[in-house]
Amino acid sequence: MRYRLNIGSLTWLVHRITGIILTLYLIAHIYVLSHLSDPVTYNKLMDFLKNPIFKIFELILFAIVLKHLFGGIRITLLEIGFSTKYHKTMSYIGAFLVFIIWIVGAFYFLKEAF
Amino acid sequence: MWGWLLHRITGVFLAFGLLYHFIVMHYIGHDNYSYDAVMQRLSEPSWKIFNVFFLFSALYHGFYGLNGVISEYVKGETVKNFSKFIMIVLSFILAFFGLKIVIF
Repeated sequence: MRYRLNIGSLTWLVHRITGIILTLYLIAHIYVLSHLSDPVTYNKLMDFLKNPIFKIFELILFAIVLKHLFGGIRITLLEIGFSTKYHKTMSYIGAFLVFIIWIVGAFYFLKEAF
Repeated sequence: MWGWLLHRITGVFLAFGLLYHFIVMHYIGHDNYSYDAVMQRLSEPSWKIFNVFFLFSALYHGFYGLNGVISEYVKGETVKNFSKFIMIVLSFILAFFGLKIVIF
């Protein structure tokens, strides 16, 4: 498949890619958590995850979640009847909101880390 | 039709549920994912109900979406059915592991 890139198809493509990443992350998330039934293993993993590199991964994951969430809101709004005239505007507004919420969220994430 | 509708409904639920999940885990308090705090939450019935819905929604939404993506890139009914089969098997395995966490 080939795509002509503009803000509309880009939003669609990003929604698709973030969706795939989130599903793959979900597999890892559930699998890892299901092996944490005793405090020793649990705390060992938590200490391991305190490494700043994982904080960066967490922030990337948070951005992916937000982008997919707002992409989903846009699709839902379009399908319940919002005019497709505004689909590009909605892409920009969505991206802007993702950015704002991500900055605020990142602040809390990092405050928690240090 | 119903598969699509459930994908949409779980999507809306996940949008709120995931934000709630993030807020509880990261924004209120400092110690919300210590072992004791997690076990305390997991023992509460209201959290169990939320978590079960959350788990099933995430699995359904994720694998329905992934199956949709895959089916657009592969050709032939056999391959598409195989992909669907793999998605169903994977989500059942993960539902098992997930329920092990949130219920037991």
